Amino acid sequence: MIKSWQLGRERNNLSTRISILTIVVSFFLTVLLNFSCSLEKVALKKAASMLTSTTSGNVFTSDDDPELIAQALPFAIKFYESLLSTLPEHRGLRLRTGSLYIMYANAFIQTPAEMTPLSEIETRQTMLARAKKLYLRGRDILLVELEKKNPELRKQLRARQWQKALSSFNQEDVDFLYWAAAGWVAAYSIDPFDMSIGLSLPEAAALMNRVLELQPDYSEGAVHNFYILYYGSLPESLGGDDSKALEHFKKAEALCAGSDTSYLLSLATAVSVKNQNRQEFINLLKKVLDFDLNQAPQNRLVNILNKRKAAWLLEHADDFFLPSEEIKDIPGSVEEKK
Amino acid sequence: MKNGFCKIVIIIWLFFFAFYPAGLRAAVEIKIGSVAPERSPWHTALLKVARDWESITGGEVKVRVYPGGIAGSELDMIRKVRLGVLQGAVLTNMGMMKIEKSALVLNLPFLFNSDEEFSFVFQKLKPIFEARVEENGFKVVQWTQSGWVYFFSKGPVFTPEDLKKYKISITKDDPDLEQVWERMGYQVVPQDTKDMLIGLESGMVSAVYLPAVMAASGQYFAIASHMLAPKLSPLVGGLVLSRKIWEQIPEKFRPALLKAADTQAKLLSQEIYNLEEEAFRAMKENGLKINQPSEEAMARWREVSSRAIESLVGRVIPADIYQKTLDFIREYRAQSEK
Repeated sequence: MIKSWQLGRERNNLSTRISILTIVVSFFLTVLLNFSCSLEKVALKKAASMLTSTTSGNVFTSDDDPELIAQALPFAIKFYESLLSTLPEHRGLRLRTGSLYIMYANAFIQTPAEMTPLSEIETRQTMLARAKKLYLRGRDILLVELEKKNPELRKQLRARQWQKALSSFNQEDVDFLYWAAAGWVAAYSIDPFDMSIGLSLPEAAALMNRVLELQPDYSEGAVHNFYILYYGSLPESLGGDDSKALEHFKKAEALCAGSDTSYLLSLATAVSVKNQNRQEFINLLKKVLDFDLNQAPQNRLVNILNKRKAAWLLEHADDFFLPSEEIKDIPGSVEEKK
Repeated sequence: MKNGFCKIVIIIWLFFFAFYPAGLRAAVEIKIGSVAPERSPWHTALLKVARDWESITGGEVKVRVYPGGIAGSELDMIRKVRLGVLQGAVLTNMGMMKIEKSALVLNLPFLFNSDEEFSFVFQKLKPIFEARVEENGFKVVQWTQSGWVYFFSKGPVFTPEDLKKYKISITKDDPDLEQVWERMGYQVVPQDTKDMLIGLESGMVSAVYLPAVMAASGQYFAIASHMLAPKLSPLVGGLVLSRKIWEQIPEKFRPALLKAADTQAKLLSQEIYNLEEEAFRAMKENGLKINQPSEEAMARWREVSSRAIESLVGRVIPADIYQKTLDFIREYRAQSEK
């Protein structure tokens, strides 16, 4: 009985000691863990800053092997995204993740989809649907950052209160505004009958208008290139306007003629095709093909991709242009020649 | 010797034609214009028809599609088909009317009460329209029903008298319709479809009649935010080819081509039906007010519209077609009552 009491006391003592030891160990472990966590965070932040520096971006944009980049980007994007989930406050990481989704969707999903032959139209549709999804994913990642500054942003944009929604944004937000708008409009262009995106198109345009206000020469004319496509592609009833597209073409040309050929492609595909101006289309695309890649090594990737697209467009020009009426205006000429 | 050489040449040519693979034979090239925007469901359905036709004919029929109005308005496209610049066009019933006036019966307001009723009557009328369209040098290869047309106005409209307060945008180039509207005491402004939204914004017009999908995707409802609930008329469209090009297609392929076009038309109609539902949901969420007239008001609408129709019968609408339409409607209603 005593023994059992003593045993009980000893057991109690032992359990008290174990408890104290557990607390002490837990305390030290917590301190250590916190210390290692903050160490890990410091290291992650350092890595994130390094990974999102301009130099690291150039590793992709200056590459001359689009296939290599096409294969490398999905892994890179997911890597950035997983880092972002640990460091959600890291602006550079958020910008890089969101914008890469949009760039990847454009260069490596939408563009190849557009060049997919008619016989594979279902594949084309699947690729386009995927591009749309990634555009919106990129946009939403970027909007999170903008909403930190203005938590009412989406609500005010929906209410068309542009001034209220966007006045708090300044130079440091331009990248976020630009890429969010670009992803938004690109998603619309893929599926113009998606009612929810279509109805929010003016909201996307408002973000880009703010970029134009804050930094008209943003990214060597990127904002003007956007407007060539925007005004050139939209129907007049929704704000399309060829003269405005041309105005932005001239501004883009002044800012990036020596470094980026995208503005030439934009005018050719959005305006020349619509106006059935075949000669203008050919001239613009030839300029893309003649561009010296060494002139702008930092944009080598985009210029190579543009050359590929220009060559494809020239090869398929008959798919975009009708023969002139003067030639065909001979009774029965088209059919009878066959 | 000379004759012998000629024989050899002839024999070689005969062999050449006999064994020349079908894929290398000169294809029948069909260029089709459409005002439907690129990547819209109408455009995608047309591309699928193009793909199916190429596949069915082993490449003997090659189809190129020119979307987004780059081939001009419906009237331009009809002219271009007649000239041989295009060999086909996708038309709405407004375009069909330009080829065959009797198609106007499909546009008559408040004539059909439901999808089922319209479908019953249309199946009976189709062969009549097709024969008449053929007499005019065209072949209808596909019919599509793309939802319904509704009245949208800047303020509430419940009765025919309410509508008199508004300036109604109507299709250009149709003096007969214009006259009928005016005779009924309405203010009308003939316009191109592309100018309708600008007209609403500027106040030049204050009411429009449009398919629900277009009212939503084009954001017309944001300005003309009241909709009259009853369906005005069905939006029927079709793909027509020049009869000349149709007859160049080897006869053995024609039934399969028509079947493929019809399959895509049915899929498209279902897609548009879903899109219309989506359009209503989006418009209601964004402030569209749907005004349901009373039974009495509805009777007034039918009375006013039948008066207008009567003034067109015999002059614009062939009396026999109108009579047949009414007979089929009665037949359907009698069957439904049983």
